[in-house]
Amino acid sequence: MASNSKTRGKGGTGRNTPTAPAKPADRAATTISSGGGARGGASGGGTRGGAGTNPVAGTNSPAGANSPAGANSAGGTGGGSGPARRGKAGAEERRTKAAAARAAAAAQERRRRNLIVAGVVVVVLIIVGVIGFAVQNSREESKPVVLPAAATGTDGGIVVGQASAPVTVDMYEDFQCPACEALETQTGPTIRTLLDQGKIKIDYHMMSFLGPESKRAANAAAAAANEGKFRQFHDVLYANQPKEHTGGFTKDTLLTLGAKAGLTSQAYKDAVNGGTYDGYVAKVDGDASKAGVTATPTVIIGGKQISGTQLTPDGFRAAVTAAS
Amino acid sequence: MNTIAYRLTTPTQPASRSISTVLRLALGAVWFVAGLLKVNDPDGMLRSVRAFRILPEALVQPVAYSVPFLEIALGVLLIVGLAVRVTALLSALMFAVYIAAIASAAARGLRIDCGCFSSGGDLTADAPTHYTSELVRDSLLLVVATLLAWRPGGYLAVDRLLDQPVNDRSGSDADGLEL
Repeated sequence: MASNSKTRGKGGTGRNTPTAPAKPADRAATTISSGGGARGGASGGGTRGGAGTNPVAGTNSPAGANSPAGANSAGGTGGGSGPARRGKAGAEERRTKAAAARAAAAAQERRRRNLIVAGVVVVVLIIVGVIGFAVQNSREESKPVVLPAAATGTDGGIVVGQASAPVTVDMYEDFQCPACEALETQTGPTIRTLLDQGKIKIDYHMMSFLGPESKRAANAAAAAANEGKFRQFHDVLYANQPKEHTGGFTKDTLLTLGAKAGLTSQAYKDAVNGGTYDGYVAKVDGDASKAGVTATPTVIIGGKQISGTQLTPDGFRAAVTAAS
Repeated sequence: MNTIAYRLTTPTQPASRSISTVLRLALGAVWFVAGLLKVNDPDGMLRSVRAFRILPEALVQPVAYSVPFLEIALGVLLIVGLAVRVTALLSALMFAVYIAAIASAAARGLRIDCGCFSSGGDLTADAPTHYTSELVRDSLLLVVATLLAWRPGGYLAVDRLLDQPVNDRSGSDADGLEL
């Protein structure tokens, strides 16, 4: 913008037209904020050229601005028609300056347009982000949280075992996770013994981040918990775990496996088919993630997380003893 | 004059334009696919973002929900070639943030999946992390985005269509201003 008006000012004095420098400067000052100053510059050059030589040059120059070459030839015609008034060098200089001013104006216009496009794009991106947030938010809120009867532990954990047991174990598992299956196979019998002996009670937080299979299974497990058969169902599911991410634990499978655990009621079937506890399942998963559970299986005995190497029968027993 | 370096680095050379086009379409496709894979799993995105343990809980949800849509929008803008320099710069910025986040997770010993092309988040206890490959991939994408920001003028871009009538407009609009 600054260099632009400078060029124009010089051109004006060179031509000895006292009003010319003031006029474009004025225009630039008033239109600077809208970016229209660039256009003013181009037109200013054109008008001045017209006054100095003839009106044809004036109308020619804006059209000639399409390309530098075109601008030159247009200026040439204009200069040629009035050689008597000015020297050849002056005309040449004027033409060059007019072309430079037009080029600068075109560059300015281009920059201005780029800025507008960039601004619009950024605003659109922000709007897209906000809309995305709203869309996802409304999707999430559509799931009502129905707590199953046994979900009385912290963060909606399903409590298994005798209420009088001295040690509380928090188990974070996913029905589809192979490492959880390994834990259940290896240490499951020990855990069952400790439960039956009344030494521990367990808060089960069934996570479901591995996929829709996990969600369906966790929903079915909540339905089982509602009928007081969580433990049996839990063990049946791990004994029949499908390979991860293969679409296992379909609704039909869960109904069949439920029957093995003694779940044949209509309420169970409706819950499995209708996803009654989907909201609860999502809540458990979210709460676990907020509690900083970074992997399954995560086992917390008496408030203390035990390491992966401690998940053996002996390690588990030792941790329980230490906590009681 | 017409050395290979000249052809590749001069914005108006066909070689430079072709490469810019390829980079733009590739980057656009990456964004589009990455966003599409995540957009249908808002829960997973929540978990992924939270798993990095960088953002405060209040910001986890807005970021997790809006990022997939932003990625899709960036992808579409790059593919059609609208405001390429701006979208390329934004892409570079986002990759830089992703790289920083993954590196920080690796440095803190978190065991997470970056959630770059799916909803990742916490891994099961025995699952391997892929920090190195994730960092290499995002660094390559950062380089692509930077190159594109440097030379945004490829073929098949809306920007080029918008570019053409610029001088006409400056000419004709000037008449209007004379009033």
